[in-house]
Amino acid sequence: METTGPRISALIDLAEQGDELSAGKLFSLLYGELHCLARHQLARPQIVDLKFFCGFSIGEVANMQGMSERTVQRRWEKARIYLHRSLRADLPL
Amino acid sequence: MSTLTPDQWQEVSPYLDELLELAPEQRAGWLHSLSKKDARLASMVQTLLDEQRQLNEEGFLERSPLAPGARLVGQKVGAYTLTSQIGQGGMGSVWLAQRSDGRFERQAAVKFVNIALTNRATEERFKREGSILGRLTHPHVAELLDAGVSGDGNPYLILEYVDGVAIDQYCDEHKLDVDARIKLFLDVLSAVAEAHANLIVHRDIKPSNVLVRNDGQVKLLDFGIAKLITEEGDAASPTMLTMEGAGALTPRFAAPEQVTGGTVTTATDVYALGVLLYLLLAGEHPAGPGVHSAADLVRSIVEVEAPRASGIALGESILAEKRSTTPEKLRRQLSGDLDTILGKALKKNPQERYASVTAFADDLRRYLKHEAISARPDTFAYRTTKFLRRNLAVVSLTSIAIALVIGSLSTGLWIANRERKIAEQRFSQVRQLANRFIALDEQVRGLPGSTKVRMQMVNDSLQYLTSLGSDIHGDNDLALEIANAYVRVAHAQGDPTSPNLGLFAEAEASLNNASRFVDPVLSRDPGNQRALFIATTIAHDRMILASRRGDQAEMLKDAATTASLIGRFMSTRPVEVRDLYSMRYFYLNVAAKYLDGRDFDDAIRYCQRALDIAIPGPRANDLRGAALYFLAYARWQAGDLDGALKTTGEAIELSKVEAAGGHASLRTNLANAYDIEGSVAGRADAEPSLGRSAEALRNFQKALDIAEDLAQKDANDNLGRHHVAMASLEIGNILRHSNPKDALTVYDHALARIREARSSVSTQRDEAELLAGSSYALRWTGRENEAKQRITRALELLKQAGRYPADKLEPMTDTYDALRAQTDDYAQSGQTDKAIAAYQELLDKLMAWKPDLQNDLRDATCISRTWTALATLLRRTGRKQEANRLEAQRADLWSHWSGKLPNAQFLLRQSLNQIAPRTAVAASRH
Repeated sequence: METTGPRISALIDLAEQGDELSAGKLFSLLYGELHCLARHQLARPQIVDLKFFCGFSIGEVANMQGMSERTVQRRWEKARIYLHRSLRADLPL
Repeated sequence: MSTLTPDQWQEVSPYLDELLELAPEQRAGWLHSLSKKDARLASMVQTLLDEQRQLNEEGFLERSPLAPGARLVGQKVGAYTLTSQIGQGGMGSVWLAQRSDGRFERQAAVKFVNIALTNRATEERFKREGSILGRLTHPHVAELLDAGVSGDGNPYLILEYVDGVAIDQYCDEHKLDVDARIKLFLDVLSAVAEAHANLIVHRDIKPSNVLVRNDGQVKLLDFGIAKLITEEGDAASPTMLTMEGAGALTPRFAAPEQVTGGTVTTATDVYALGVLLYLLLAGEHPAGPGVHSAADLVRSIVEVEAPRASGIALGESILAEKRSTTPEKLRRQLSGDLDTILGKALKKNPQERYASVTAFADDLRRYLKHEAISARPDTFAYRTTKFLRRNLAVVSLTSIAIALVIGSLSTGLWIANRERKIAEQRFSQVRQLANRFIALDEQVRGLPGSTKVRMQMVNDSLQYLTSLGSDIHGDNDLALEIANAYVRVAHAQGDPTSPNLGLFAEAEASLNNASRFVDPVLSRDPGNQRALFIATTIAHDRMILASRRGDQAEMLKDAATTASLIGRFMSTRPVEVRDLYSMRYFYLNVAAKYLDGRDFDDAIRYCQRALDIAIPGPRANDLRGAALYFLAYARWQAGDLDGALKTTGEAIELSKVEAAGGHASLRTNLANAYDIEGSVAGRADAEPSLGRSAEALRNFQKALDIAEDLAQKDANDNLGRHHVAMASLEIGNILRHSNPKDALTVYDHALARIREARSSVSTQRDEAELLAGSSYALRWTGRENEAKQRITRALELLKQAGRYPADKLEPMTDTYDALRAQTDDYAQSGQTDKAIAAYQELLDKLMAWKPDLQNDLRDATCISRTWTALATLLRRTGRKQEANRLEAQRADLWSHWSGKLPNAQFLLRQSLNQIAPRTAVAASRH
């Protein structure tokens, strides 16, 4: 099964190669979706803020949020599924 | 756009929670039982779980796209070139690097540290501390080779690269027995003792900082770095917890005094070494195995005595196996002296621990030689009484769940103290998070397509910061951070000089909020450099916004304020390079606004000051292109066309270099430079120009290409659209005389672009200009009615923008252009009398504005052209005398200018009584 769509994975590749336009687009997409997530109260955006946007490790986020690493790990994985789904229009469920 | 609706998500969410909690091998069974109950739900969850596994493998979102990623490869840091990333965390990123000055081959680890070096003093301290640490040389200490700040402001450390594994892993992999482990540990102690002799405390001893190479050599990493990156001058040192917010330290190995904010001494390292030895011998942390929340760890570090290591040895046989022994033998080995030694190293009270690392080492050596050790075992009674004495307030609560104790505020000073620490920790984290966003904003700022996300990011950070606002109480730094965040919000909302969202009124409100935080700081501390910087930024941004809404008086007032604040800032010492650059930028915009105010002397003065700011290093030429462009503009308007062209040439060359970096605003500068070269070469409006239309068209086309590119890349960028409108207008205005059909295409394309933007005064004015300009092209292709409609629409838009009706008309502005288009329409559609009346009115309004015909060329050319148009119409109706009088005025005016600017080519054309081209075309068509 191919999970990451060509669009998003190409964006990530380009962004990692230093393509600023792609980085900007990717960033916008993710940040937009993140806030959508928060609006629906589907996850705590702070975890994604800290983990993805600020680059903290799971352990560090757990300490900051006063949660166990396991809880943070679970919430991060859930948010990631949601974000991935949000960025792909063509995945069946 | 998601294939997963919020409802579906709500439905699967609790099941995912449950499933993800399970160990991977338990998940299939769980799913199987779910599918019996609800097959549809189970299949949904299964699909998402498969995806999750795949995402894990791919490392989806594991790295921030803005974290210094692949693009850092090849970058030079000091004498080293980065080759690959070897680590990443909240504290920063670690890179493998190769010595690149060719002197000798050497690998090193470069550590970028996520700390804000807010001013020169902290930067200096960082470098100074770095050099102290650099003097520590010991065979078991990884050398700190260099500490500094990279070109883009990131502090870094260059360390000896150690290819090894963590000491606990090494011991287990090699099945080292207890004695071998102790011998290895003694190497660690000798390194720490050497550091202590140099008054350097490690502060962060943990297995991942103690590596063992393949050859069995121990190397300690990161000596003293915890201090380097956390302590701020003489300010009270932050507690371990607040530092944990920085992701800098690991509380698992923290000593009690680090958690409670006590003094960190060499005894702190003794404690951490005790934890390390405990881990090496007993195989687990004194607080027990597994994951701990921060609160549990704090509790165990501060109040719980560690169980004896020998007690753990009987647990799992694998533990003994890894120590090449049996559980029973291991228990016997650890009980007695080793338990006692560990107990002494792990004392809660620093004064009861080994007085030095050497004493610790001596006892271990005695143990290896089976001699009597110095530490005395604690009897049970001894331990109990000590514990009671120290923790009287807490012991009475042991029957209550300890979680409640931590949450409670009423359990005595000790707990209250901890609450305070936790509050401080939150405070510091929130502040740090907010500032991290601000730093991200800085990185994203120039990225095309990023306007909206910047807005969200900065807004988030502002929310974080204002949540701290009630605690300001004279905290200058926090006040300035909040002010800074407001300024950034304002930038994303509506900074007309860079990509923005067009929310100009909101931007002004944000700037006012910023002032509320900066002004008190400046009145307390008038020489505060950072406050002056922010205040300058605010004044500058206000000036730009005033100009945007056409409030010239306010704009010039703000320009003067900005210039004086720049002066104050430049008198502070020392000024950092990046701030010099900002000041050059501010001066430039002040100059630009004086240009708008037609004050060429002041404009030239501030251009010169901008160019006079000497910027050392690679940015020496930054913005010089723009400064030259402004100078060119000032010279052009002052009638020095040759000087202007020469300056423009230099400006374009420099701007090209700057624009190659791709930063949106630098490309805007290049577009501006082409724009002015086109204008000097031959702008259609017959302002002072060399009359070379073809050359002008080429330049405007280049400006248009850049602007189009910017507008397309960022759908939210209004500045790009404005430039498309302006360049298209110039092209259309020239082209319509020779090829009205093509001109119309150009105008209409620009109109479509500008209509994509959220309507504002600026877009209304741009649209009005384009409509008025295109009315000529329409009429000349036989579409008279549409021409009239566009003129009417242009005037409506100007009305909405508050520019029309007007008693006074500034020459060569949008309202003038629209009214002139209307007047020309009367003239060219045979309504000569109406046209004469309209031209007369136009002239009256221009004169009411009090143009400076003797000193301002723009005013002179505009009035002169109006006189000519009016004279032509008057002559057509036989009113020769009036016409002659106007012609005479005109001749006088230009003979004045010929005296003022001898040898100016364009003046020759004016004095040849040349009729403005569009009037000539109109006459021939009629």
